[in-house]
Amino acid sequence: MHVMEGYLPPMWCAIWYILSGIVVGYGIIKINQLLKEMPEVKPLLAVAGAYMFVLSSLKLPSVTGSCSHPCGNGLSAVLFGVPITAVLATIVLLFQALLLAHGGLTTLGANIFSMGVMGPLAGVIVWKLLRGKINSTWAVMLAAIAADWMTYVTTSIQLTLAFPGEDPVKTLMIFLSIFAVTQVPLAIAEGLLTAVLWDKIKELRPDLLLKLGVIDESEVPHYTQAVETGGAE
Amino acid sequence: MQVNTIDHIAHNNRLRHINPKLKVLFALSMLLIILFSKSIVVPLTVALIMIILTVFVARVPLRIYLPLLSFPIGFGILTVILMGIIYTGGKKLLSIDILNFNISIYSYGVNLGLLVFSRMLGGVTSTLFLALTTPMTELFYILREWRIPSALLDIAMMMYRYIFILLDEMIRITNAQHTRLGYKDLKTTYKSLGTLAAILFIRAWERGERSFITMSCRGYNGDLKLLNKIESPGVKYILLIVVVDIILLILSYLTADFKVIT
Repeated sequence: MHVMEGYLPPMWCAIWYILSGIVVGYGIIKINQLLKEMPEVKPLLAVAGAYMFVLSSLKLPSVTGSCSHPCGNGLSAVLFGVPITAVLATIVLLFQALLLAHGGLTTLGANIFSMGVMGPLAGVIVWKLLRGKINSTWAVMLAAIAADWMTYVTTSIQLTLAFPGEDPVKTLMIFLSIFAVTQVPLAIAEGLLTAVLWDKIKELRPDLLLKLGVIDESEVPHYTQAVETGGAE
Repeated sequence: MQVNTIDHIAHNNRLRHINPKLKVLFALSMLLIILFSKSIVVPLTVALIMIILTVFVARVPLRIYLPLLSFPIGFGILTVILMGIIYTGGKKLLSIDILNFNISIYSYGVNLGLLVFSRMLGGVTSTLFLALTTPMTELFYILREWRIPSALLDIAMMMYRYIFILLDEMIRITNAQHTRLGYKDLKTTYKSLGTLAAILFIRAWERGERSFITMSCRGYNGDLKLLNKIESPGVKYILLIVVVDIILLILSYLTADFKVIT
């Protein structure tokens, strides 16, 4: 869920714009550095961003019969890291505001901060902690769950900060129970989808994941080791 | 497809040939005024202006406009109720006992909720006005003139193109999966969706690599060159927008203390 247009007071709009601006700025510097070495990152990042947008238009069934859409920010964070994900999320959120009327221009900063910075950060931390210890599919699944859930926790905190009321802790609890608790099954649904997706990529095109340096060669023996088919040499 | 409809309308409406800079200036100044308004009068006025402009002047079909507008309205009504419960203060308007829980609605919260509701309505109608009357490509030219970093803008422009290609691909794959008994229950739905997402990722990646090769053939070295330029709008139109803005600012100052429920 995005914070809607006009929801935040001007001060918080500005604060979230500045905070996410710093991260996005760092991401742009990083992309420019990458561009000097390999100019192919521009079209590749563009299709990756388009993929994120299309992924978020998939309808995901979850336990309660309700539907949600995946954010894709966990997957992107694992593949490209937090700063570049923040840049991609900025563009995706801008398109969502202008092509789907989701989110908004004044609240863009707040949405970037929750979807493009905090969520991916949680995903990357989980990924880094689990990497190499368990199968990468499980690690990606948990990272996607963490990223999705953290996005909603950040949104609740942003809403509380905007309108704290008399007792900020109580208000935060109400917003958390509305967004963070109801989001748990949806986060798990996104985790499952990401796991199936990851497994499929690992099976079909492991070279992409190897090139990005996110999995180890030992994980995809069917690709790295020659299979003895017993045919003629 | 919803993406196609907004994008389609943006290219086919009565305000399509108005200078895009004017439309951006108008929508953004309205957004800022709404942001700083302290009562519901100005945001509702802006919402009314924007709805009239979008529906009657730009002739956006109602069957596309109303569903887009129903989302903020539904969300706004929820917000009013929720804020009435959360934020105590002022008069108690309503009190219900449900299973020993006392739920009361207070006037301070309702007033705050209504303010947020009106701001959301004004903001969404302003953004929709911009989105429905101005094609994305013209916005890119304006963003470039604002000195947005070229890395960001180039990626955004290519992304805009790839979104539609990938959506087409997605629809094709989904149809193929449906004909092969995909999505028949919850388990197959997840399996189908996962396969769809994976194949899309691989296709997207291959497309990215291929387009890099094609771009290299045409002399790409990490920078995209654009030649088009957008003319500056006439001074009298800018003055008109400034006058409207000033009137709204004065209105906003005069009605700062206006409250629905005193």
